[in-house]
Amino acid sequence: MNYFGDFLSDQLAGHARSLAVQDTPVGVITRQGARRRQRRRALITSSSLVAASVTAVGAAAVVQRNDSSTIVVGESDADAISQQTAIAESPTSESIGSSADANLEEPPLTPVASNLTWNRLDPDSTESLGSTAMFGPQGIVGNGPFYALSTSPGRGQETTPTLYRSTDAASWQRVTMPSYLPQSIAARGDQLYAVGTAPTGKASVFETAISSSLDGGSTWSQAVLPLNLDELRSDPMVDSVGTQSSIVAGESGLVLVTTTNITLDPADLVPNWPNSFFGGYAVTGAGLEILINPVYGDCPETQDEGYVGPPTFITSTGGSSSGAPASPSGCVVDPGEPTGVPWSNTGISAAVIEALLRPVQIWYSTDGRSFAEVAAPDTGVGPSGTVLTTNFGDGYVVAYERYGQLAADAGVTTVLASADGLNWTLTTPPFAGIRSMGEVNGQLSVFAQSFTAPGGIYQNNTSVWQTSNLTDWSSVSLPSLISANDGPGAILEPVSIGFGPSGVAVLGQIYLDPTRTPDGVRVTKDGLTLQMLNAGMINRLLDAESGEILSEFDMMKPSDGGGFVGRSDLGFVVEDPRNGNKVTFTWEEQSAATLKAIEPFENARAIVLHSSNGTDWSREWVDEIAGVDIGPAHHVAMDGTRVVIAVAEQQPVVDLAVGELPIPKPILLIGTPKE
Amino acid sequence: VNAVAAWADEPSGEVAIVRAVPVIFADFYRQSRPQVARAVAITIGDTQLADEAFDEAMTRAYARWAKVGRLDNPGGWVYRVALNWSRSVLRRVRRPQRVPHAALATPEHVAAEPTIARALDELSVDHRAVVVCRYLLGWSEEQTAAALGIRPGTVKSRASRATKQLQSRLDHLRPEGPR
Repeated sequence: MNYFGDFLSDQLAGHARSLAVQDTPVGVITRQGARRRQRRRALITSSSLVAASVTAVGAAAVVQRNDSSTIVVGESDADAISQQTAIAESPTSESIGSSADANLEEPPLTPVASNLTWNRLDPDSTESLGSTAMFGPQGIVGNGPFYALSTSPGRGQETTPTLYRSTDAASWQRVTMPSYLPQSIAARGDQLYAVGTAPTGKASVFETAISSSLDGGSTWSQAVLPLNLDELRSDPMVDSVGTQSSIVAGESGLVLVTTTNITLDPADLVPNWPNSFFGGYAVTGAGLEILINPVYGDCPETQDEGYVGPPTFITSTGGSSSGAPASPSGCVVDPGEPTGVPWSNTGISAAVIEALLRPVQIWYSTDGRSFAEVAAPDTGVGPSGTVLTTNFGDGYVVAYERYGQLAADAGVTTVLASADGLNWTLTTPPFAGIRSMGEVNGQLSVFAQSFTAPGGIYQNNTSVWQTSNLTDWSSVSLPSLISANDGPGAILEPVSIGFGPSGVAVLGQIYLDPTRTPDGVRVTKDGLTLQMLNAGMINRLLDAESGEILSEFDMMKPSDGGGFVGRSDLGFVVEDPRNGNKVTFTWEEQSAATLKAIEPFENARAIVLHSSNGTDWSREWVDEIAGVDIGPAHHVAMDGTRVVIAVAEQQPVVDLAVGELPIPKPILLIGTPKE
Repeated sequence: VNAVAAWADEPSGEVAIVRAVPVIFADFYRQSRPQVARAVAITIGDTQLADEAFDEAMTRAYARWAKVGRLDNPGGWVYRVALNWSRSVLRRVRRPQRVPHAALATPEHVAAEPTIARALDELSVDHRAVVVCRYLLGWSEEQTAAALGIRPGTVKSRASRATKQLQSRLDHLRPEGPR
């Protein structure tokens, strides 16, 4: 930087220092973010396509909905980054609150006493398993030696991905990584396998690599799966191509499952692509359904948690997408000209169309070096967002969730089972939202999250399902382990789950959110009280003195009984039905009341749930196990017999103007089953 | 931290250098708030809206932290979302007239040289954003391009024009005097 550049930097820095910015507590942000995440998932699942924000500009994001399929909507790059592959990320990315209050009909489950004896390890003192985080849904793989993908050990911010090997699951040694970060690893004795996307040397071009090590991770050989990604990328209609993979090693060989995710660049098909806020496309078996950016008239503001404007998609089949909230009164929506395009008219190559419509590819190998694609049962069209593998008895299980091409396909979880890795049978489990799975004492155990919105109350269902025969399933709902003693509006946010011979362990966080209690949050003004019942997104208008309910309305539209006039730039405008007096409860007033209510409960508290049999569950506070306050909960994994939890000490609040953040101290907690 | 590009072929089509492990959100939030929120305030010329926009962007970042936390420059992501959100609000909501940069500073804070504020006011938001990213936040051309969703060449041209204009307004402040 030249002299003027340095001078300009100094001047700008001085100007910036002169600006007073507010200091919103991080807990407020994370709570809102968790709620947003929950709500976004719920809205996506319930086809209420609020997720397309008019605040966003730019590229595409793939979301799912029940009624039509994969949708690429114009959203911010921010949103685009997160949506398509989020469910293949670490479990943290899927942590979404589950509220006891939102699950009012969920009978509480009485926890049993823990059968674990805990030991705290200081990663400073040993070459132990990682420091602050572990990767992926697998945790620890192998039956001895054990392998795990984690961070580098010791204290500090250094979080280099590191591969570990252990013969006793107690002391761990670092071994060589493949030349890329694996999406999945598998082990059979000292034969170690990894799969992931490896760089090719060309910018933003990757290939799906499979690597094997016959010496426990000392040396690796690498091959490329014949997915013909270059051919897919060469299609001018293709914007990007990515793959997700999972691998498992069994007695007879290795099973590898891959899914190919393609994002199109439909500039010639979608009006105003890619700057269309609501425009986009949906992939169907017949072709592309074009989503048109609606044109609004003189709409009143409908700002809700940052989503501004009437959230309506216009589809090529005509009208707005089903399930979308009604446009506010007085808002004119021009549906434009619907334009569905059959595949033959899109100009997209046959190879790309095939890949777009194919849920997964299954590969099998006896030696880990050559993989042959095997026939998978016909499970409908549509790529998969999640692909998982596990051992089950002497055989294998592959599970995936399509994010859908046709209405019946969206969000459907499919489980395929095979005794030999070559011949596969199809089962459809009674749940959606598969997130991770493993084998527990001869049972296939699955962690699933799904969303429903009965009566408009968004409900996050986090459950552990089990089966011994892939036909008869039983389940335990994790929010049922929330206790009334946990505090007002307690929400369980699962962070990580581990499966192993000694059971299932869930590391989660309990948030307290009094805004979700049956009493909600109240603001009083001019003789009227606005009661905000956040669990149901419902508002009540009360007489301030008597508490008499004068009217009830939701966030978007008036009730039959009146009381809700509309939403303005300032806030809710309500009307006393007894005398016609109008009162505006401003956004600031509502926000201040909400912040005041949740402020005392800023910090979440980490909790570990454990079950040896999938039915009886214990719950323990992690800070009580560790003996210190705990910051973010990170990961739980299970080795042959033990539960391994990685967390970090709570950090003090530091004024960054005068000091630096201390290095978080990682803590490992090892739970061993009692005799 | 090892930078890996496992998600570079994201649906966004952007080349995103991502970290193998996300930074801890709370750390990121505390570290970036003073800097990025002020950067947004300078860019849009509205501290109150910048605060709201920063909160909104951070809320979205947390909701997507598994991905955002792995980006090479998550602050750039937050800055861009905050900027886009601010602009959409400004487009849709009639807000009080924007406060000039020169008047942004609160009385209890020591005001910077007022000329810089006036000079910034004369730039367009697009040019101001480039200046803020490059010279306040210290981001590279590539990082600035990624944050603003524009080509590196556009960053270079906007930065060139903006600094040329600023230089003409600020040259008298050079310790050795105007050239």
